[in-house]
Amino acid sequence: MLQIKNLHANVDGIEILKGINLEIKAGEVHAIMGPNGSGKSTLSKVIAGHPAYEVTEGEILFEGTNIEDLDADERARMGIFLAFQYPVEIPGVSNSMLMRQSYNAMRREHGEEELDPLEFDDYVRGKLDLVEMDPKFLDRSVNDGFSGGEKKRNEILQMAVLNPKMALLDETDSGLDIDALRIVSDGINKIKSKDKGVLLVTHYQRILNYITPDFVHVLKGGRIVKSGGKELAHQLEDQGYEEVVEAK
Amino acid sequence: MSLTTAQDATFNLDTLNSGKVPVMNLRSMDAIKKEASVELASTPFPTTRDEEWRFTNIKAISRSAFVQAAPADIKAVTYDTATVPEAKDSTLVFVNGIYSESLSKVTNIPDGIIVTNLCEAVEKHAALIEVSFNKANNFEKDFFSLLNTAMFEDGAFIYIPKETKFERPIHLVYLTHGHENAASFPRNLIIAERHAEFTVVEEYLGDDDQSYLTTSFTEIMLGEEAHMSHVRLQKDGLKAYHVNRIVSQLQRGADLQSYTVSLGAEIFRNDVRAIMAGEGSHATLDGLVLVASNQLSDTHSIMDHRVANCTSHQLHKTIVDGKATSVFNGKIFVRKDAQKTDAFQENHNLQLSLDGMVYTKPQLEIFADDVKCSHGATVGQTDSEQEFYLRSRGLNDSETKEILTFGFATEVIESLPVDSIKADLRKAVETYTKRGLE
Repeated sequence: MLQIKNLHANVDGIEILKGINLEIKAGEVHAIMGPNGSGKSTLSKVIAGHPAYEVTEGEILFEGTNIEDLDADERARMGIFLAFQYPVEIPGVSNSMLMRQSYNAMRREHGEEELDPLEFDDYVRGKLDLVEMDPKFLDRSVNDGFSGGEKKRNEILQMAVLNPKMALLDETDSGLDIDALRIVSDGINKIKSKDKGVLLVTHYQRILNYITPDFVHVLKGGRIVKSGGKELAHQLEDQGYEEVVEAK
Repeated sequence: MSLTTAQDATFNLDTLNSGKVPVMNLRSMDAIKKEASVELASTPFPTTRDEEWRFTNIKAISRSAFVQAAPADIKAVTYDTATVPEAKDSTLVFVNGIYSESLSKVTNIPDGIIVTNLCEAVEKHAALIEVSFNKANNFEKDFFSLLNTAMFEDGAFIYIPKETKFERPIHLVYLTHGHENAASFPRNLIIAERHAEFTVVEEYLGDDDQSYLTTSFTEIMLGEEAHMSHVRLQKDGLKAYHVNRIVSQLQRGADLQSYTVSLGAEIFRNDVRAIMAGEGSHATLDGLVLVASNQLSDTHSIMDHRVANCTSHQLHKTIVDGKATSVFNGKIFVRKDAQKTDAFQENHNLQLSLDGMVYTKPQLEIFADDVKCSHGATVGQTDSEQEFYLRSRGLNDSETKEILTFGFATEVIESLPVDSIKADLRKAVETYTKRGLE
């Protein structure tokens, strides 16, 4: 589904990613772990098409198509979704308005009829339970005045609504208390399926107790320095990044 | 009497009134009008050399040969008072500055409340007018307030007695209709006694195809602990010139929530002033301005904290597209007795085009030593992180700009007190943003 080949990327002229190779197949969950500054968040932003990052070498193929020259919205409409580490607040724009416009943009892309506000309301209400969100969140401005946990749940709600093929979850677990982490993880587990790929970027092993990865990769200095199964995450938790990487 | 103005202006009041000031048949009022006309004769027409008009070039007004609007053929004018359903039975309609009884609908007004036009009020409520008219007016040597005072023929008169709540909004509609270069001068006087509660919506409308001049003036006097919500909608035609003054005077504990939304007019100049004359009073003067193509919108405001323990709030937002210009000059006056003042002012400008111009000037003049005043101004384009967030949700570049522009504007709209007007303005903002960026 997603193939990353020798990916190099810069921001402000500084090279952050220095040759990433990664393949995620449908139905697989990959966890990217790494210390601060290793390039984890950059990787997810580059895949999603953040304009501040420049790909200098290598390629990203999504379902066989090179997406390097596509804008973020085109990638999104192909089925790539980025759950933000720091979801952005948009005062004055209601959650339901944003999600309806996004969802209809996806439907247009696939030649489907757009939903009117009432039809969309029915559709979105069916998704609220996935993240235990109150319907009143639909009328509130996007992330405006939300707590950290509410913001992350809102990201997962958007993911449920847009139903992407490839989900990039950028430190979705950071800043969550245990209850919120459980709610968010349950939501992700319900949404993931055998025809979807998941890339889970995380600093801590904690979320992997709830979402079982098929593969764990350790990112350091802009390169994947170690890959393994889920047991690698436990090893990282016990021994720390330094030791695991040294021992490779 | 001849009322010729400044040397270099061709603006000629003779063409407006053929030498006569309209007569209201109330001695004190007519004396004020006459005095204003005399002072006007020696008051120069403002130019960009005047500090208060530095960025607002109104030569176009002085070059046009405006004539006092002729009474319109009322049969040719329509207005549906149910446009704002909340006010369908409390709507006064003025055409070319003159009250139109046939277009208005004012029914079931509770005893003691007065909702009428100034001409009728002069006959029936002379005593009230004598003690209030022109009393809040603190504009000095100001061409347009003098012009309005001299030239007005009619306007709204609202009186809310003490401890009275009027549930329905009072809707004042000003239509300009008829001929090219029509000038009208609506003058409104609003008085509320202590503990009164009420809402007034002023709405100015006109066609896009004719040039006209509206010089309006609203005086508001709020008694102790009176609460007023005030909305002013400027939806003039795109060839219109509109110069407005609002001054409100607040007694102890009075609360004014005033919102001005400006969408129309080629040149709009709005001077809003709140005088906090009684302790513990509060004024909100929020504004939303949407301008495009060659429109110019200028807001000059004064929050005048005269006594202690008053609070004021001002959120002024503008969106500028095309070659349009926005000017904001927000003055906060804290006089030496106004200790414990808490004043908040923010001006945010969203610039959608490279050719648009934004001038913003917060001006704090503080003569007391124990006060809290905050102010901030921003000018810029849409936020790039917000843009990326929306793009990553599948919205293309123009959809993203539209939704962010909409969000920027709705912050002011959401505070408005009348639901149907909120809905109407949301649509107006949508139309503005969907018009395509210039």
